[in-house]
Amino acid sequence: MNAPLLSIEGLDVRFAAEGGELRALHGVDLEVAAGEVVGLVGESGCGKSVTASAVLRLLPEPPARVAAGQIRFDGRDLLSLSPRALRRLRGPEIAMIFQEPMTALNPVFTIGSQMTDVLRRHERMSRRAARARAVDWLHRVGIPAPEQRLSAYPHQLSGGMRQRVMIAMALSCRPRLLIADEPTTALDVTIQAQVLELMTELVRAEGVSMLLITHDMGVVAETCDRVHVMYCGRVVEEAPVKALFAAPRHPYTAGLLACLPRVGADRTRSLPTIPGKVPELHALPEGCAFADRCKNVQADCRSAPPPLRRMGDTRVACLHPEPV
Amino acid sequence: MTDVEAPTQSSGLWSRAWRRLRRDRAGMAALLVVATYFAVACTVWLGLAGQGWSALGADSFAPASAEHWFGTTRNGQDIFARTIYSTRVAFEIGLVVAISSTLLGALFGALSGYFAGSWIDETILWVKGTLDAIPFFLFVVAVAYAVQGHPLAMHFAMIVTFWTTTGRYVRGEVIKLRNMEFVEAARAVGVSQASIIFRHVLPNTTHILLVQATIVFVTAIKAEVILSFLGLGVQDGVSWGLMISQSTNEVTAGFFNNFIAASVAMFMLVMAFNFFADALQDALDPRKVEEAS
Repeated sequence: MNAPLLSIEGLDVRFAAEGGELRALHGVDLEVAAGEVVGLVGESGCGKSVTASAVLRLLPEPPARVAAGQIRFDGRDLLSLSPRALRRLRGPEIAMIFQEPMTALNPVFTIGSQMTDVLRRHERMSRRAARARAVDWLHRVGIPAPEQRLSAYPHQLSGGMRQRVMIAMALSCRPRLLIADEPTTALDVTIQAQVLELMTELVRAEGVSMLLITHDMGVVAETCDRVHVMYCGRVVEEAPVKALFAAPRHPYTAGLLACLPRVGADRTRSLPTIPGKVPELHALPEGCAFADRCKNVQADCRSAPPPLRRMGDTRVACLHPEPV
Repeated sequence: MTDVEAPTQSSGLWSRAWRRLRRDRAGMAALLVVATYFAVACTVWLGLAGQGWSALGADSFAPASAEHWFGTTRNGQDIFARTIYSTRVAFEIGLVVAISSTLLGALFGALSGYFAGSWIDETILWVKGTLDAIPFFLFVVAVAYAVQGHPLAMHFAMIVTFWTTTGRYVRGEVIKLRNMEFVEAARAVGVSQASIIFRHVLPNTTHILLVQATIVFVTAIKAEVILSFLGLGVQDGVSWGLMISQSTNEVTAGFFNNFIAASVAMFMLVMAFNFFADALQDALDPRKVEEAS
């Protein structure tokens, strides 16, 4: 594989808190190649969103602090960019879609003024050209009568429509990487599928790379080429989608997949669960964070957190992975 | 597609607020009164009325007549002309103070709210607290003394003391707004910090600013009357406050024209403006906007 578009190495993010720092991420490794759709999955609080925000340098600093690690985008070190260079990066190079479409648009401006504002800012387009591009994109995301929609205010659109507008806005600047932070979580289930399909289609058609953050394994299976699984601020497994679903190597991934309800399964039996609970950020164990819940655990798991090791197509951070 | 609404007619925030305001009868009546006052003030500005306010006449304490509609003062000055001219003075003070203190309040409130908890916020809060701690009239006396009868001493004192309330409201609203996702979304498309504060966040506080401006307008007119009465207000000219102050000598002699003309003129404008401010507040209330949709 040639050099990835986005590569994160050993990213360590800490938040100042009462009684010391909390380590939100410790040593995240992640790669997104050009044109690739990569999933980032994990449960609430495992650091998915922090990772995404860190890429665009959107973390509030302080309290957040990048203690170690590297984020490289197209060969540039994002952590050392000037505020000016950063502003030129956000939008035309890396765009982001947020979870909550209800509040992600400014309530006092029309859809049109918000969409053309971005285009005029980054592409130095004329008012008319920006308008035309905005209409074109609203059309592409399946919004009917886009010319009229330009003069609508966000409160006049439904959640699904707003998320479509956000997608149109994010892609209209032709970014090279799209970060979507749980873009469908706040939507109705039927709309979720539509929006997801639309996003994947557009991203593939435009050749944009996408980092899709989600906690929904179903979403991953449908849309991604490759997946990173996160647990407690760390990537524990990275694999092509097919390999991951066919043969998860990390016990946590295996556990997650076992938890998924399946069509045709014996409905009298309760769903399997992973025993125990996620350790608190301020009381992480010395070794592997999953050790206390793991069925493969052995003495050496508790001495140091295992590094990501390559095993075939998969990279896994486990000393005693599941057999293939 | 399942999530398509029927296209609505143009219903921006403003046209909607205007529609609601129009349904409010008391509010519209108040607006009419204020507009009339404003028209009067404009005719004075244009030199079409009230120009003879300082001319001394031969007959003092003349009763109302065709020549002197409201009668004359002890010095034989036409009370009608003085009342009319004072309208202009009132609007001047109201507008200057309302606009300046609203701008100041918006600027510092937005900075303070956006950087809440930082040294910028601390500094602004400290200045606000200090200004608020000084009794208003004491402060005006101090300013008036410091600038030795400058005609704008009163304006300055009012602006400096009135912006703090607006600033506090804006700060609170901005603290709420800065955590909304559209602010982060704006950062994520490369908008600069200054642009986020003033072009993206501040317009969301317009309803507060507008209502605060009308309230400050009324407060300034009322404060002018009190200050002029105390001799700290309008220095060269005439105002309702000066007229009432002048009338204290006349009332004891049994002549009420001057006193009644100034009091009624001021009372009606202040009442009307208060009603209008109330109606405006209801019309712009974002919670009611949600209801209406």
